[in-house]
Amino acid sequence: MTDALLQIEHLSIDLPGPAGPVRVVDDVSFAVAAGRTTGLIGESGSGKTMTATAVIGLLPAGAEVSGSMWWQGEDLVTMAEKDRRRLRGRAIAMIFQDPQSALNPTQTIGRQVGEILRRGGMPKQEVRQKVIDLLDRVGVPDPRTRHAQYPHQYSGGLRQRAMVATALAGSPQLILADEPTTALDVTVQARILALLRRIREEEGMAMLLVSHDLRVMAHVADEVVVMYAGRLCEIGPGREVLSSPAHPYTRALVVSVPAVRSRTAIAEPLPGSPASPADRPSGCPFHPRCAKARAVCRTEVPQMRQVAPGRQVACHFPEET
Amino acid sequence: MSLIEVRDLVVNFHSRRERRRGRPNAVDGVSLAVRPDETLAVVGESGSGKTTVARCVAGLQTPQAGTVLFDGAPVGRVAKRPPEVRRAIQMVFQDPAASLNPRMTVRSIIAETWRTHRSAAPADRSWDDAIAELLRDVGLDPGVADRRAPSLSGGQCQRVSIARALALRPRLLVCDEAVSALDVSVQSQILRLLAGLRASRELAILFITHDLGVVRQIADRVAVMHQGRLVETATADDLFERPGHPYTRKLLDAALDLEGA
Ligand SMILES: Nc1ncnc2c1ncn2[C@@H]1O[C@H](COP(=O)(O)OP(=O)(O)OP(=O)(O)O)[C@@H](O)[C@H]1O
Ligand code: SF4
Ligand SMILES: [Mg+2]
Repeated sequence: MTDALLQIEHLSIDLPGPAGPVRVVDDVSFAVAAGRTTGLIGESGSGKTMTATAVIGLLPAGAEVSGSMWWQGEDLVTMAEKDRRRLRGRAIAMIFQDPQSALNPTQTIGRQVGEILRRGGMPKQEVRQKVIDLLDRVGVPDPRTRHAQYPHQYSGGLRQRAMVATALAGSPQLILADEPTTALDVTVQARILALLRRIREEEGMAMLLVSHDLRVMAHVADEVVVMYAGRLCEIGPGREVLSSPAHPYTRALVVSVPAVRSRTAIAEPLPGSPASPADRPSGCPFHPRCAKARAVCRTEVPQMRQVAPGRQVACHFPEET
Repeated sequence: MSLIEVRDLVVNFHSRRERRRGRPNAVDGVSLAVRPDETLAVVGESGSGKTTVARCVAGLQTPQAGTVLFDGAPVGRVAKRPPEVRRAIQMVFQDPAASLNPRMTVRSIIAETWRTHRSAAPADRSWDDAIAELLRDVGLDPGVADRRAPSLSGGQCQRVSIARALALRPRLLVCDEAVSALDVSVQSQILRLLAGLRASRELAILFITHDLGVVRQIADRVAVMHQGRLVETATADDLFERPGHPYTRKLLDAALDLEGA
């Protein structure tokens, strides 16, 4: 990991709650390598979005952050807000799950895609040309006409393409993508994923992809980071982790994914519900749902340790890999 | 005989003027039937008309043309349906939180359905016991009965709406993307429940989804919609092994699997 573009170390995030602060992200460390896609996997409420939001510096008011996020020798956690603003939308850009609400309905697509360029002082004619080029690159048909249209005139898939163009406008080194294809149809989803992959290859930029969809992860993530109730479970190369998971939770997720190309039985469900960070179980947070749990799992928090080259897992009794 | 049948259904949301100018129908001549003990999945891209067909079946949408038959008899809008038919067809929607009254406890949400449909209310035991069992059936702690929707997670709300639908002992459950937003571990729990109910209670399910993996696990037959029309209806095995229509093949090709990634 000498070429880490972003190095997250012991990141914890507390959010204000009705009964005092809630630790929604707890002691999370991982790296995003330059030019690679890192996938952040976890169920609803596991802290994926909060982790990505911390990187771009848009956490909700009252959030307390500790730990470090190293970006080119500087710590994003302690960086002055004006310096973070300089990075946002330029070196680090974000694509959201729901382009509908991320785009402004009263402004043309072209205006929104070109915003960062205009703010950077690029002349109007040049911005227009650059926006048309960007829309063309992300596969918006007839960009000469369509850059002047409004979001409601775009389909869901086209809006997501426009979001990608907006992110690319600042020539970022890192793109954060939070569930970028969850709201889309399979056929559209496949095209957006191919687009993200192509762009990453062409531009050599890194991507932190947040998703609960393991199938998407298997297709685009070079590395994956699995989270449960705000904590790390497992880190490793995407293909290896998803084909031979070391953590019982990752394993439970993997066997729950129904296959299309062969007929699979409905998986044996995990008992109980996903743990909420507000009342995180003691010891290993997964222990109330884990078939392998023993006494030590209730009392001792398992620490991340290496189980194979490039593979780390936080479990007292990991699976053979 | 079919439990529910739709014949030559046509729905168009445009004004008459726009229709004359050739704006397409949202649903254009769809016919399909669900037998009393089968699960029929309807798949297709967003905008292909799946939800509109489901809403016609549930009586929430009046078609411009065509008929909906329940037990062989035509049924119209939900308000005009006999109480017995209304009870027998229950719907579970995609957005669980929006379909539950935020001010009511889970207990009163379920009890309300029994006040409306006395015939479905438990006669041999207390309502509280019956509610606890329903909640357990959908994998929820019975303690959830005292909570209100805003304090529950998305997956918990979805299970409450399934419990509410099942409380009426329906003969047909219409599920519109009912498991799509759920995390996979919760999703398999709900799918198990639905498969078990279908086997034990003669429950028919009209299952609308874009997740072909889920379809392969629970559907007996599959109907594929494209731009308001049915392009193919086949048994699940045939559809996945020998897709007949080019559009079906396109859908299958676009679907991702964990294996072989
Ligand atoms: N604005 C907020 N204020 C207070 N708590 C919040 C806020 N947003 C999220 N949370 C809480 O923080 C925790 C982590 O949330 P986060 O959004 O990071 O989860 P996630 O893994 O992205 O889940 P999902 O898959 O549902 O998007 C959850 O317990 C959530 O309820
Ligand atoms: S630490 Fe124990 S409870 Fe946690 S995942 Fe491993 S075996 Fe299961
Ligand atoms: Mg999220």
